Amino acid sequence: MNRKYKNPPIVEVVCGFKFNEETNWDATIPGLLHDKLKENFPRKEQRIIQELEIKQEQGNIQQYLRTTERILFFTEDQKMVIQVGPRLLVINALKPYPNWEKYKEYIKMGLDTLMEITEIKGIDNVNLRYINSIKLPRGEDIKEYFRLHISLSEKLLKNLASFIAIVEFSYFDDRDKCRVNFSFSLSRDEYILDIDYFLNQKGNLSISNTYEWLENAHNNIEEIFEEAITDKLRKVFEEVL
Amino acid sequence: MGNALTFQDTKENPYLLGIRGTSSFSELNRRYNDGDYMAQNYFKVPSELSSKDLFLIAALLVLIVLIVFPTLISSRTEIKLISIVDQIESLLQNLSKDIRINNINSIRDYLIEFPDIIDIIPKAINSAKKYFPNAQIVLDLYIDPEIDDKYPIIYVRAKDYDNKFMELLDKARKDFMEDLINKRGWILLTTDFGKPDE
Repeated sequence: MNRKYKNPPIVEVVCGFKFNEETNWDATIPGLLHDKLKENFPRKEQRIIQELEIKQEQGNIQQYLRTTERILFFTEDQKMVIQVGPRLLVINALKPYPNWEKYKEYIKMGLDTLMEITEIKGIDNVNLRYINSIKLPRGEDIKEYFRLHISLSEKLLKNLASFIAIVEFSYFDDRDKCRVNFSFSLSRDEYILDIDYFLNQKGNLSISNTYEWLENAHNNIEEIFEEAITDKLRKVFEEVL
Repeated sequence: MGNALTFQDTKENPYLLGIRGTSSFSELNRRYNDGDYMAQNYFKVPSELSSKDLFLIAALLVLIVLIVFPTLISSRTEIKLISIVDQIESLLQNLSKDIRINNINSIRDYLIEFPDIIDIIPKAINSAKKYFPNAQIVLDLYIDPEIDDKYPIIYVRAKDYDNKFMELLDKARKDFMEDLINKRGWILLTTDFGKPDE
């Protein structure tokens, strides 16, 4: 991180890995993983999650809704969570976000420990996502705070209830993409800047390049974030110089 | 104009509705199914249209945008709900379909702080609904004004509060109280003896 903020807007950071079908997986893996991680993640619980998988097959979008079991490990303060599902590993950091270096240690802890338990044959998907929540005083002109914004006439702005703007950026010959979802809702009275960097080409990442991929993902997310906001918003976050 | 949908309004053709690569809606549909929505022709709609026709066209356009737009956004196999924030959002959205939620933003903040009770909340609400099928259920955040404490609170609001009401409330609580053991978060099921909203 080049810039640091006293009041960063980050609500959650998520890093998720979906391993390929060739990776051996069985019901004992979450338990074995927790045994090795329980010093840092003493709390464990089980949840049933409904997963929506969206696939594009032959030009058509297919959605599959399935119920899966997910085991969650929490740090004592519940600010860091590891989720384990079938061939799925997720590392969540909830606010207050420590910093990239610290968060990366938790990602490494989860992934390296999992690799001690089972041989990961390949990664189908990986993503790094930063969800930011920004509250501004009512009636402020968003152009003064964001360089990524929608343009509306005064008349339309008067009755604005919500908006969602989605922008995508492509990296490394389209191997990676970053989807930026910028939204506002009057009922929540906050702007959400959701930056999701993901592997766009399924399986096009070797295990050995994973940490390098994460570093690039983080750098690109950081660049997008800084380009999307103005100095006025940086003052709201109280930049630490 | 590089997008799949264009809309033009000219004197000659007041309702020239352009959908590239199509000569009719059925053609559009066929091409869409073939994965082709980037061709270069326009589809003209007659200029004398009733408001009903316009409404139907607008509805069809919205439908097409909803179908086509996700394919313009990059395709990938994605697994949803790996974010805790998304899980909370999904929970609140589902709950708001059949119970009343007050102070939803404060509840959202509470659950981010105490994510270990995310799945106990629906359990507690289901329990309340089981024992009080005709009552109104209200989810709120209780903030203690005297000490620094807050937690989600579920109110059961019945039309009549008979002798068995408190007994049933105790039974409903017992259904989920054990799940709160060793949790950092807390939740309370009770009543404010209020009347259900009309």
